[in-house]
Amino acid sequence: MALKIEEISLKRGNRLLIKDLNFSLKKGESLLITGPNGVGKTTLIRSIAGFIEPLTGKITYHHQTQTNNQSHKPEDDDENIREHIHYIGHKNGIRTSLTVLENLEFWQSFFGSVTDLKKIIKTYFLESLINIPAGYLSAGQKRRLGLARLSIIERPIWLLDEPTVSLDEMSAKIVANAANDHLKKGGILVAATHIPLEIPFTQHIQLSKNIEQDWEDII
Amino acid sequence: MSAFFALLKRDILLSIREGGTIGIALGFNLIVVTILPLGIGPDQNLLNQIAPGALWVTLLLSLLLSLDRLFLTDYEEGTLELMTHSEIPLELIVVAKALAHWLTVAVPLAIMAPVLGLLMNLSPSQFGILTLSALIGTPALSFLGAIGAALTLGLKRGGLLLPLLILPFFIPTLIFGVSTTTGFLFTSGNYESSLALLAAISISAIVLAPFPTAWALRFNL
Repeated sequence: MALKIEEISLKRGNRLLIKDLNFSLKKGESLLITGPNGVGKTTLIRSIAGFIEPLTGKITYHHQTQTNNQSHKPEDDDENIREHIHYIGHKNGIRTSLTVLENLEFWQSFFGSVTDLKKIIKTYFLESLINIPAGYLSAGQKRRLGLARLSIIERPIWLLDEPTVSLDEMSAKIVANAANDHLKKGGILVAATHIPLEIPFTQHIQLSKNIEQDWEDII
Repeated sequence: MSAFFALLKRDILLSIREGGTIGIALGFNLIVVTILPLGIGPDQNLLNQIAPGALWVTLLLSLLLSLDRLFLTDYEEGTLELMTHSEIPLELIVVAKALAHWLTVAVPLAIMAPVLGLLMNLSPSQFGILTLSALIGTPALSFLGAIGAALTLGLKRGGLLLPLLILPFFIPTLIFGVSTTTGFLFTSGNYESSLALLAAISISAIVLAPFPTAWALRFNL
């Protein structure tokens, strides 16, 4: 199992943000992306998530199934990567007029998962909120509800864009614990954040703004 | 397929919970049909003659009002982009959402049409055929409307552009919808062909519209 980013360049609007970036992550490896605002952290994560076409280069994911399965399944093309991803972006991905429980139940049946929701509700401290419409939650509680999706179904690649935004220390710890569990199970994690997370990242990319001068060459 | 039905169920629940879309569509339809005779005058023969056309036009416009919400809230709250991370293709997600729209907006409008027909002096013998033609014709509106809703998704005031984009595509449904209803009464029995064409438009829309819609959504995400 490996996520490979080869020579990708990304632009947002007319600005070239990332040029010829390479990295690859194997089972259980994690990558921390840091850098000042507007440097392309979100763009990079969204391109892995499949929302932005890279200008050049390619993103590939090889998913080796267990040995007892049919071995020659063509499971490594770009189309396929989406089904293996958990993406936590700036938006929480919850419907505000549904209750907390209804939101979780929707994602559970949408992803066809059979996980025990009670356990997830407990892990993310949502017990007292389950029957409240998500619109009435505080920003931090909404974030927690959005993050709870990570535990609803197991997926090998986690893409977290500022996961701890508006979370208190306790809740940030829940995220770190979930992420560490995920890595222990052999998952891949890509996170962009300003706030230090209690996750032992194996790789670190510091994005900087110095490529803006030569953007005209490419466009 | 569980994802398809989960989404369909959720969208129907949301539509009932949020209330706005159905309520506004039905209320708008009611108010327009109520003021039409006031503008035209009390000539019962005239009202009876224009009733099928007037009812179809107001139905189109009422349905149009609710179309801009089709993807908007899911887009704004981030649920739409997450739905692309599932095993079912985006085209099927579009089908589920358009189908939910049809069930929660178009079907109530079709059922309400004969009640409004009373205000337009529509002859009671046409009530059945009006509802039937509306039920058969409106899937085309929900599915074609989805294309417009997806295209205008990223725009600030997309709701205003949507009718300009999509109303021309509603014309075939309008023509055959009206000719079904009038044909039933005036040219006795000559309505089946119109009804068949109405069904053909709807079926084509259901099959074909999800592709451009999904394309536009991918572009806008």
